[in-house]
Amino acid sequence: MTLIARLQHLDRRWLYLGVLVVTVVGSIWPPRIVPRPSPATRAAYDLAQAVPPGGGVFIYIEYGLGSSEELDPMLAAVLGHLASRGARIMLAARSPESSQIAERVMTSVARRFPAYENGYGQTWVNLGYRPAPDVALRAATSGIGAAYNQVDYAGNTLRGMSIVDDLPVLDRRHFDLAYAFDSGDGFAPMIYYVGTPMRVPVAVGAISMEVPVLQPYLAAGQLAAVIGGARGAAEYEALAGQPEQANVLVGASALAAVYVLVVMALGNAVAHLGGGRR
Amino acid sequence: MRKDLPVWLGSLAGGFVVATRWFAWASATGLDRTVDRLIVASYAVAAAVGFIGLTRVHLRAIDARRPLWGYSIVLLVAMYGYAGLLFFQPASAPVPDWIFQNVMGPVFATMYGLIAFFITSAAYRAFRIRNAESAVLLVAAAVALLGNSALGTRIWPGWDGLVAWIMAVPVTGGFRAIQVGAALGALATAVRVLLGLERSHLGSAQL
Repeated sequence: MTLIARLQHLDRRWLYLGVLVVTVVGSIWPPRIVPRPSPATRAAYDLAQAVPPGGGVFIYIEYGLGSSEELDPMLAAVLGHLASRGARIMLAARSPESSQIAERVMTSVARRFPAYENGYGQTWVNLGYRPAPDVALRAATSGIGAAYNQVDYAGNTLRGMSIVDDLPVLDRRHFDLAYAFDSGDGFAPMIYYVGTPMRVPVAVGAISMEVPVLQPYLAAGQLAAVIGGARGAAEYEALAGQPEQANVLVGASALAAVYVLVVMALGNAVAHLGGGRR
Repeated sequence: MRKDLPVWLGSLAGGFVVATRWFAWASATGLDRTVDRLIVASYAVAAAVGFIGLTRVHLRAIDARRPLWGYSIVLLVAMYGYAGLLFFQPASAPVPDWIFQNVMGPVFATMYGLIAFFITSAAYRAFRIRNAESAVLLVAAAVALLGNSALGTRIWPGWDGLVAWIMAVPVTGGFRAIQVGAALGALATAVRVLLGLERSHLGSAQL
């Protein structure tokens, strides 16, 4: 059997082994690739940079554990930047698992900033999840406490928390920026209920696959900015001057991209040399 | 009665919700908030129905010793175990949080990570240039891969501009067309449901 014939009938497990090797090597020794910030990521950074100390930022977490590897670094980068600006951060979630993700990421970011580590209820709060999340989001534009039944993610009362007293309504008067971190269509209610009627600038942090879906909203001005995938997160980290997880991720994914391109080229070469037969 | 009652109920309920969203009097009288509470309640009912349905399906599978019935036991134990746990403590408590971080997290990450293996296999066998259309597909895939991985700029400094143009012009145009088409389709379906013309969601074969 010739080499071409062997490659034509290549067992897919060899390809899988290649993926394993590339991702393990890329994770242990990630190549240093700092991407040049795209205009959309720079817009997201500038929006956060414009939030004054004590300004309100509403962050809506839509993604689940499946997208955690891609979006957690991005969320951490944005939260870290906002915390460095002294913004007051209100987190809400679209599902029970997203509320736990919000808690995990924000808690880890808060450890770097004493005002946040010891300032729960003043500098940040996790409102958690409510059934019919779109209804909760809409109700928050009339009153955040009532929309979340006056309790936070852990069941503590919102009454007496200064952040909720000072930022009682999800509107432009109280919030400078709203973010959706999204792997599906969670950004849409943010546009419907918060961005368009309340005039709060809405930015989205999305998985790479979702970025094309967001383009019409970005072009129409309904979204103020988009951070796309691991690359967008790495760009944001570079802008914020805090290269962390996303820089490792983008390096590893670059190796994987090269591997997939090589596999595509090999598949075509084999098909061509083998007379187009599979 | 069996045929018409669900249709009338659907039309009345749907029309009522639409009215509370469109007219200012609904907001002024607080009717829209009542509707919101009903929607929240419907979520709870739907969850309960799902819980009961899942239990029945898997109990039957266990009872009949269907193939892979052991997994049904795992599912029921996990579902009732976790739900029972959350009756006594919040999701933020150490045990539910540990399960979330150390069981669900790796499971979901593994499921998502498997995509990379399938993509590679597909890249070898499916991304082959057979005609002009498949060549365009291959080039688009390569541009997207290099663009998303930030390698493109290393190869050619103008790469980011190319990707930005692709996103701003063909991608935006294409997705706009898809989204407008889907919205018009959804609107037409909603109107048909409200008017009782669309009955497939009620199991119209029996009606």
